[in-house]
Amino acid sequence: MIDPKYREIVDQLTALQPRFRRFAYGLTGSMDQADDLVQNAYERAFTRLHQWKPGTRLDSWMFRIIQTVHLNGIDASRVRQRYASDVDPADVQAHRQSSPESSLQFEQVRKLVAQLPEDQRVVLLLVAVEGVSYKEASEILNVPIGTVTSRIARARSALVSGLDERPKPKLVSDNTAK
Amino acid sequence: MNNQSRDELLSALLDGELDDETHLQVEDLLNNRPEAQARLESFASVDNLLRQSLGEINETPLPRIDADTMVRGVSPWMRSVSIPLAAAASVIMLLGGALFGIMAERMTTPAAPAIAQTAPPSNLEFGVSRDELNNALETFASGTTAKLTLAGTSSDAAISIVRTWKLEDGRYCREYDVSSSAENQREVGVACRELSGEWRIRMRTYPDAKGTFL
Repeated sequence: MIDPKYREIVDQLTALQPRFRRFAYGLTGSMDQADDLVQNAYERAFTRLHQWKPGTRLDSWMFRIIQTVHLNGIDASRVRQRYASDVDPADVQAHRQSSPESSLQFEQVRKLVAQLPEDQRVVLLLVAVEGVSYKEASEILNVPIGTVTSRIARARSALVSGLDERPKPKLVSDNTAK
Repeated sequence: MNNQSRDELLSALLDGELDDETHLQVEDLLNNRPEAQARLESFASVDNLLRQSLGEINETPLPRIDADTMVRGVSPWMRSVSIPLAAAASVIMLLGGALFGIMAERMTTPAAPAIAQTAPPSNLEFGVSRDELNNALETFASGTTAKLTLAGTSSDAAISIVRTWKLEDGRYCREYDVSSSAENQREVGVACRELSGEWRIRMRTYPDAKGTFL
């Protein structure tokens, strides 16, 4: 059983599950793997609640745990391989709820994220998606703020370039109307 | 100013990370350089697209997180067991296809009878001993990987425990993944812990180099 003195922390952590899933989804590229990763991270967090320092951000602490579990357990090549060879049924279901155009864009951007170097991917997810400050990201990842600044810019640049390079739909020529 | 420096400034502006003085300088840049303005808008656009894209996971059901279940149990890995049986069945389906699908169906039955199985071999096929696998099954938390040096070789093998679930009759099952750098071989399987404490392999399969299950 959870020590009653930690119950409030547990409730706060559990309430943040959607954010942690989204972060994990960005890291793994798979909804199934994201849920496994978050599950394992919660397991680790709940058995280390005494290590959280009051006054520091609970979400940052959890992001660090997710990142650690991810790096310990998942080979980045598998993330890319998954995009190359597999389609997650849950992804398909989710896509049905979006327009075809946005689904293609969503898929494209996730592929591009999977192709980023791991250190750029995690910074991008923390800052651009989860709204973590550069200082907090530097503390989570234990790197200087300047490194965070550089990595996020490179990651965004790579995504913009990748989206620009994707095949454009052919426009119907209007020459025949002239 | 090179492109990387410009991108860093625009990114930092987007993230609200610039001090006042630098902020003014970047605003001036944006007013005088249309391409910088376009670059900033492309960054903002890709951020928005990324948030929406990853937000799709929250259109799927949220797995239940039960902290009390996670920290209870006699072995650390048992604390993590809260994966629904349906998810466990999906693991079997994913790994084994139709034959193992039949087995999975039986596994979801309360107090299921003994599952059809092959006799556990004394050794896995590329140098990882059964004792090493048993040790991983018994002691590793889900998501843990350990590297081993194969006896008599300079090659490495890795054992991962992927996930854990509990059958309705009280037995625990775990998905494992063993690979060898020397042979480029990989075995993925499911082992269940009998009430006696013994681990029995219930299914195993051998993905090819691309990770495709036969």
